[in-house]
Amino acid sequence: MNYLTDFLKRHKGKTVLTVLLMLGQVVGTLLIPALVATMVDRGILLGDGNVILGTGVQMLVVTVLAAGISVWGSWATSDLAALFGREMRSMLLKKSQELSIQQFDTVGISSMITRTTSDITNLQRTMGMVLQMVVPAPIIVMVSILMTTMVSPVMAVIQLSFTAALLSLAAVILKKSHSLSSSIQTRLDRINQVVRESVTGVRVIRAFGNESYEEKRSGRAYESYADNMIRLNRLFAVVNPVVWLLMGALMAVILGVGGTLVLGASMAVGQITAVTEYSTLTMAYLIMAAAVLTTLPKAGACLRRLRELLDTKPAVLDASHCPRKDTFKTDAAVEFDQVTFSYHGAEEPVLCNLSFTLYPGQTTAVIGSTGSGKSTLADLLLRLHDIQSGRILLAGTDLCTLSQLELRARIGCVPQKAFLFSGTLAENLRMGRKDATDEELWEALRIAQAEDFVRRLSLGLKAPVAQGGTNFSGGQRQRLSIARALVKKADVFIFDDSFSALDVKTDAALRRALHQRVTKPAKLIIAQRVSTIMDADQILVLDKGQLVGKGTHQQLLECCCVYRDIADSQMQRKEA
Amino acid sequence: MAKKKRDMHNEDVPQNTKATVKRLLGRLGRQKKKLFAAVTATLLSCAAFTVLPLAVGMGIDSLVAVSRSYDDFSQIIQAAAQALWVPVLLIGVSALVSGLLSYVQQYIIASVGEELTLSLRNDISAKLNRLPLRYFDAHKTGDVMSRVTNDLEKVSAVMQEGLPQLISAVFTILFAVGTMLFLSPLLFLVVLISLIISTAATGYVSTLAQRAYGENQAAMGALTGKIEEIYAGNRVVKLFNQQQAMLSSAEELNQRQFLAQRNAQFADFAIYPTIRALGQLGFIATAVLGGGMALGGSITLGTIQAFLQYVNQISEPVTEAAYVITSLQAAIAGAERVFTLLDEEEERPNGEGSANAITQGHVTFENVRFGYTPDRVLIKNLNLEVRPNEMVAIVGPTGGGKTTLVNLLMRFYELDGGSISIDGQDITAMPRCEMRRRIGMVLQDAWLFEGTISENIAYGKQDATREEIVAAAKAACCDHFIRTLPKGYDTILTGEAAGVSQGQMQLLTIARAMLTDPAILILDEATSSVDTRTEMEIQKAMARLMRGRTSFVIAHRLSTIQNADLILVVKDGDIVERGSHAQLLQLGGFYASLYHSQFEAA
Repeated sequence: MNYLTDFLKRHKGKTVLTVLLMLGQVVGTLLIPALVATMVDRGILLGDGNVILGTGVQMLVVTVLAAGISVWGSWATSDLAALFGREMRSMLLKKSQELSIQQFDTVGISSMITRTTSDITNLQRTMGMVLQMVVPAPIIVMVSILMTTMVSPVMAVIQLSFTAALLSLAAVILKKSHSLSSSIQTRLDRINQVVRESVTGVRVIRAFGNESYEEKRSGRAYESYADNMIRLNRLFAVVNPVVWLLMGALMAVILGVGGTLVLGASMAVGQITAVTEYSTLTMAYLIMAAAVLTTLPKAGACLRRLRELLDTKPAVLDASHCPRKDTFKTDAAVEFDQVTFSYHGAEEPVLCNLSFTLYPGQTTAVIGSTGSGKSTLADLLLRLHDIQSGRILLAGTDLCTLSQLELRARIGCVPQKAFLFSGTLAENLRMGRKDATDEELWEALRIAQAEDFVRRLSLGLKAPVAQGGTNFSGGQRQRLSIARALVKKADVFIFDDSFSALDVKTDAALRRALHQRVTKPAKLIIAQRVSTIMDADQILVLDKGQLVGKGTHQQLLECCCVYRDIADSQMQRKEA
Repeated sequence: MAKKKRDMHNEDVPQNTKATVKRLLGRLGRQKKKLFAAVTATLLSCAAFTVLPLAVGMGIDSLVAVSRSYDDFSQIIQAAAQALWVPVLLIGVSALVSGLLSYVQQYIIASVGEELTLSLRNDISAKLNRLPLRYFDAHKTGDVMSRVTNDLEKVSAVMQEGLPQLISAVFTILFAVGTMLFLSPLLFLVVLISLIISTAATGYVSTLAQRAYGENQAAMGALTGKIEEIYAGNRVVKLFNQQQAMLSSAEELNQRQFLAQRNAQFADFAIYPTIRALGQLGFIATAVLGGGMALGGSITLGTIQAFLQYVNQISEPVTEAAYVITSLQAAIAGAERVFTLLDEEEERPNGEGSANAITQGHVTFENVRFGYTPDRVLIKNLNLEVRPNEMVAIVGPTGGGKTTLVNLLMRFYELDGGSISIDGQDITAMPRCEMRRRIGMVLQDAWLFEGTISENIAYGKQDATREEIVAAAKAACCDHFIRTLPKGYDTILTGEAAGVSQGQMQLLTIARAMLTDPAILILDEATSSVDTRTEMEIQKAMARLMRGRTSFVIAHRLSTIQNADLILVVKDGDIVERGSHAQLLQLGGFYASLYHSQFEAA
């Protein structure tokens, strides 16, 4: 899909208006020298004072009109360019919310931010420049050649050939500068890289006493960049002088040939200057346009990056037709049935043939080393990824037949990384359920062991939260994030390694409170610490995507060697 | 960050223009000759350019004269040639001279800005190595990076384009004004009035534009902040079905940015036609008045034509100058920030002594007092003696000061009181570099730079042979995995897609420390993000590395430090308990409860 042409088509009226206004601006600009010619030929040379005055008034009118049209044109171009940015940004924001977590992470947060902010701003600016400076260029070439032809076809030929000379010069320079520019970009990236390394690695650099080595390393990056820049500057140094030379030559030729024509009575004296003005104005417009054209490759790259994202199909989609909800009657809150999942393009599945059941009120724990797939398991239940085979049932309904909104409303999840949004505490907590009462919020905070410190805040639930929740400590954030999940009236709660930021005592108190007060929903705890999950009703042991053990702590200690290894690595067995 | 941007309103306005400009000029003084040549070339080129309208005017006058006296239509070309050869030649020559000189100027100036920024960049790099670590705690990486790139880019752009433009604008205006005064003082008066009006208008409009830019920046800052938040919290947004709420709050800011951007760009574009129209009023007045004067015979047609061209010549530079000044301001503000960085207080000068005496690794802390900020003392009075080859483990809650001890030993921060000495020598008496080279350090976050694996391992000993590097890698248990990489030791580690896991990177940093063969070793044991098998390997490698050296281990897992010679429990900046594993268990204090809590069931 081509988003730029689509946009222009969508706003056909505005686009056409903009071009027309540019035409008006160009004609207004060129009329002035034409009027000067009239003043000279009919007024000054014929000695008619009234003509001089009359033409002066005409010039005044043209000036005011042209200025008005130009200002209007500026408004039209700014409007169109800013609108393009707004619409692209809306589309991108919308897309960002539709993409799956995996698709989003493949692009990366920082790249997503750059695309939504500076890439689009860059496009806005470039589009404005193009509309304002490049669009008038062909218009003025045509109009001025037309006006020159009316004066004298010979002059038009002269003007045409000089315009062609200028254009070919511009083409040569642009082509040469293109490769230099892209190599300059890589060198600039290199500078960024080196500086970032020398700042983030400052401790290591100093620990190894390698300061002077680092200086040399960055010095090399700076120098190679400077060398290239100087080469580019020297290339562009040719432009101005050549343009001046062309203009000088043009003036000389017009004067010489024009003079001859004047003597031959096929042209008036005043028209020599008029034609000179037409040509120099055209050249000036062309040079401005060429300068803008040098920024196009960069804007093109921005547009490509956006297109790539906008063309991506979301990996996780709601079933399009209203599906038959095959609900099986079952006691299970969640059922995994022969579930296999692998990331797109990966050779090995992350989870393989997984089957287990969560019952209401029970606590199920998942343990395994990093890379064993335990967090992925939670993601699958939340349908952040789609599985390749098998099925997952939520209270007897296949996940794929539920809309994502409906599904996630029924699952309370505490993600690994506690992230809060700017706003107030209450706003954050109510993300779980909009209509939760204050008392319900306090109850959630109580279970999450967060009541005490929230009570101590002078604004209580109305306390402000900074972006990312940075005005709370890691442990506090984690507890608030737990409370936020508990506010939901969920059938299932998932705690994805949510207790690791808590100290051992709070961890224990929280689990006790959960056990006592969250009785109905099924609980799924993903953990690294064996001590956190010892008392779970059911423990699932994952190893390289396989379920290698299922049972209680005692059972697993006896019959599951992976579990025993994990337990051993964390604590000396009591008998040892 | 986004908030800060909003508050700052406009970061393109310098605080102290005069001082910064003076300093910039001082630096430019190094390129005095080049600048002098460039300015001279500009001057002459502008002078030659000024001749053009005169020559055209001359041509027109003689054309008018010839056409009036002329009646033989058979020899048009000869007549034209006779009347016009002088002005045409003059035009050609002055255009040629002006063009050549302008090339000379551009060619010279091509390197001035880059050399200026190159020297500033090198100074920044050198400065970064002399700044105390405090500076890096208080400043974001991105800020430092934008000093080196964005800010200096602005400076070089202005040196390359803005400044030459400004200089040639000034010369063009001066020459044109001089010539106009010479041609007709009365007409010039008209031009002057219109010039004053349009200059005043330019000033006014550009303050309006500035305001629009400021608002645009603020709107963009707010939008960026919101977008950063939504993207960072992407997972939570999905889990709590907040997509629609987030989108509508972002859309609101997007609309605001749209309006601000439209205004800013409109101000940017509309300024030209407005000013041009004002300039044209002067042009029209000149034309009418000049026409009247020509009728009266007090001025020739060619003179008026030339005059009108001068009016055009000066009205462009006047508008341009207003714009150059804005970009000049932004560049000065950038340079100012660079100078602020260069003026930051540096580390205390190095001691005179030599670090060669560090062989044993006998470390003593005596009455050490320290705080990261003057108003908050973290370590009040710390005493510690570590004998050669001892292994010291440091445990305690986060923020208690474990890493601080190590930072002080490395002299990353200066003490507020007391002293630290190694093998009887005060660490402040030795040059930092040499002293630190005798201490090996493996940090929690594995810092590797973009370069080959062998370069990274040899980071502490640049002249290491391949054999030494391989030996170190073997000792750190990473030889095997390095060999599985497509290019082995010559594999280039890049920021992201290197195919090297976090744990493997940690192993590489251990190999790096091994190669330097230090007397003292500091290990920030960080294995929480690594799977158990790699963790075992890392621990084995670390144990091998510690053999026969004094070592400090910041421990996160108690299981690994039970055989330490000395365990320090650091809490609130103090060593609250010290002793061997057995002793501390018997003591029944913090360590004991920490140890037992590992096994506690809920």
